[in-house]
Amino acid sequence: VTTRLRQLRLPELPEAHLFLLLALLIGIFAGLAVVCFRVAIEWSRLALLGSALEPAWYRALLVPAISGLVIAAIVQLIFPTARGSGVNQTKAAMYVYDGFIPFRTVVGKFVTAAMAIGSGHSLGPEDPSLQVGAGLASVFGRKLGLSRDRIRLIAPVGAAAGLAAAFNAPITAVLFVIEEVIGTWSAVALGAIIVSAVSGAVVSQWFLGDQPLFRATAYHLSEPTELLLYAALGLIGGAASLAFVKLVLPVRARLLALPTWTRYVQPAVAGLLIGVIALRAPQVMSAGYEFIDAAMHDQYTWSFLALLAVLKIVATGLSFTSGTPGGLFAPTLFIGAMVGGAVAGLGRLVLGDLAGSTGAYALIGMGTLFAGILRAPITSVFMIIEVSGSYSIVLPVMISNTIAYLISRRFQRHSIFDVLGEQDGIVLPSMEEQRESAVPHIEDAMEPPAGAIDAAVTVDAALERADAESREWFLLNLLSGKWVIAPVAGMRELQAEGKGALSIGSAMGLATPLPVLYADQRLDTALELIADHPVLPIVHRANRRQLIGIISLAHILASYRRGK
Amino acid sequence: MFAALVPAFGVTGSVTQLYREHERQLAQEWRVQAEIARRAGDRDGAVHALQSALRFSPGDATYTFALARALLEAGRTVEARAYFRTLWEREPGSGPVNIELGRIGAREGDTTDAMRYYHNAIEGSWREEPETNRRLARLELARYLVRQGDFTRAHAELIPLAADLPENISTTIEVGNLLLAADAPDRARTVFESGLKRQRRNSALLAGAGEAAFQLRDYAAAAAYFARARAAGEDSESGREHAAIATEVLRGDPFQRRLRAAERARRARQAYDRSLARLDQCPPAEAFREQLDAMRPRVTLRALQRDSEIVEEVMDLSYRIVLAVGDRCGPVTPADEALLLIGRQHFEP
Repeated sequence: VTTRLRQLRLPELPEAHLFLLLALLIGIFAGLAVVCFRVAIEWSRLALLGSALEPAWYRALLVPAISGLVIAAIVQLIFPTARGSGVNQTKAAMYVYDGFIPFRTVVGKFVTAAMAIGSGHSLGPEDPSLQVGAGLASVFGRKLGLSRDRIRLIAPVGAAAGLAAAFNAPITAVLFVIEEVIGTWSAVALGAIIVSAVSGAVVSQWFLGDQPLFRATAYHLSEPTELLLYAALGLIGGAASLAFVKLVLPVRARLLALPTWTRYVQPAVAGLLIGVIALRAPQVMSAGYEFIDAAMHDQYTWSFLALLAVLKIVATGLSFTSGTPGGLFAPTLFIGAMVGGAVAGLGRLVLGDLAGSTGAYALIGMGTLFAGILRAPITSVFMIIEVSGSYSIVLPVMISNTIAYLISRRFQRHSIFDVLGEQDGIVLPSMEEQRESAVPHIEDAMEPPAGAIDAAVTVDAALERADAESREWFLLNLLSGKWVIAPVAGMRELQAEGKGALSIGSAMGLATPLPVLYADQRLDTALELIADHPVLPIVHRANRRQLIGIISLAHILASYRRGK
Repeated sequence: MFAALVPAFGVTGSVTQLYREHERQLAQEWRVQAEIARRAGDRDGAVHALQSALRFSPGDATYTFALARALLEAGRTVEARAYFRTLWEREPGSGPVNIELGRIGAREGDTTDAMRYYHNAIEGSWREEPETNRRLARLELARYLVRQGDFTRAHAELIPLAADLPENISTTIEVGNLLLAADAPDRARTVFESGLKRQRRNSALLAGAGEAAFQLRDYAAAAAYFARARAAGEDSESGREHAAIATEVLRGDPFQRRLRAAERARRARQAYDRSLARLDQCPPAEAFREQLDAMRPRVTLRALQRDSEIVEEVMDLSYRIVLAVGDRCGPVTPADEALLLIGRQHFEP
């Protein structure tokens, strides 16, 4: 069989094509790994918490604590890189470790996160799936001997596949990876990320079915005034997001500062406290998608939904700050659904009948908390559209998400992932700052056009003008629309040779054309192209013969200095 | 990597298959637990067990339906409706789902919802005995509308039911009774009499026919039906009461056709005496007593035989006295009730 397979070897492919093919394969493998991961979570949950929807009290109380001890030991002794959610680790792999994620991390994350979520810790499987996908991609990239640049890009490709397979939403996965991991719309990576996300989602659906994690309800807006209630949801969701972030970040910083030995018991203590909460509200255990579904279908009162939101914030804060491996994605959606449902219930109590169902409010609440906690505003909007399958929901989603995002930004300067990275001692590039940083453009540095001369002017006339203007060069506009530098010294040589009556165009026409620039281009483009040229022409995009400015190295440096 | 795909798919497929099988088994175990709990009257236990079953078989219509029913039985209507709505969204034409949603609408007094879902159930698909189930759905809707006092809509449901009655006599009886309750005694009588063609001695049919005839003021037929019903074993209080009233009407109505003059005079005199007695039982109404006293010299058997206008006057005054006294002093005897019915029939046709 091996011989036959060798005979079937693919023809030599350019690296770009190979990269796409690799993205497809990574998507498939990541999808398979995530399917196994989800089954592992379910098996461990059955084994540890039993098969009842709500576990028996003694299991709820003891299992998270005991499993916390075991998980802590495994993480501390065998898989130290398995701590945390997985998003920052993937970013670190891309920006710090040249795309390197050890296979050991993949195994560690798989085992410990499955145990943690299965035993009732309030964490989700999406972020670990993202890291498992990224880790597999990194391993394959290294095995295939890809260039360093490609290996660096391959981690997010795997991450998208892992997330798409776990959440069964490829668009959300693609956007989240671009918005939160890569930070820019890279044309090289985009195609590969889409291919891997789609293949990961297809594999996941193949094995686990296309049943959604929760059943989205129909959305209908009949009264525009109801948008005010969605705005209120944005305010409350923003406050809830802040509460979560302000709880998690300082507590985690304090726990990290404790002696190392305490890391062996922190997950157990967190587990015990979650068990105590679970005695009153077992819904807060694990990812809780079945309870999101219940909340969306009017199965809880608004006051209980509000209580669940508060308890989930506390439970997730406990699990996450203790270093238990697991993700924030699902708990964020859980809190959002409960806040949304509670706002709907309260709205109904105060205002009477609402056109929007509880499910619609819960759905929009999920997007709101996603925008507020994870600070990925574009993903948060498209995620709700993808999950609900409704475009008409976009208006309230945008209103609510924007309000929550702005509140979060106003009262918490850096996003949760940025601060978590700093707490772990790695300063990762802030995607949020990267998106919003003001990039200087050529128009900020260019000077008015000067020194341009027509190709028909004679060498003698040009020298007269040079003497009058004390100039050492001219920007010569050739009829073909190309621009060249005409040095005055060269013209003097031509005059000495008796060619003063010739036109500059015919005398200098063979000079190497200059690169042209446009005013809206980034300033660093000018820096890359200027080389030894004294100036570069900045021309009109609709008429390359029209000079609208010039730029020199001195202008560029002056602009950067002004920027500082 | 290509070669590794085959074993990777194989392992993942085996793992998921194994897990799916285990899930199916767990779902069935919880379903059995739910049934045990339901039979033991533990409604919350049944709900919990079915929720657990559904966790392992998400989207399973049978479990979802059973859970929704269990929630309904446990009084958790809002949750039950959510599950039924989910099933409805998947299969809007399902008879069983629509009838449950109709029942929830009816339970909550939401006539629009009840009408909508009951009609969906009537026109919907039923896997077993579709005709019977559609008829039962219509019957339930009619029952609800009668309870709500919405007789016009109730008639719209009862008329097709009456036109297509099954062999089952109990449905005939119920349709007849609903028509009676919905103020349609003529249609009710037709239904009961059509049932009597099949079961001549059915006491409920006879009582229903008697009641319909009574409401139609056909006291002779009513008395006859009530008598046959009693002979067949029917012994309801209202039946006995209406039978007695019908008999009294037949005995005391001076306006009956083909009565001899002496008998007409006797019945008018009897009505006069009865109204006088009622006035003695109740706090005196002086105006009526004065009128009775003024009339007394003319209320002789001879005068009553000779002058039918005196009969009219006596009966008119007696009717007004029984009516007024009845309002002030409460229940009346069958004879008083009969006097009222005679007066109403004659003076307020």
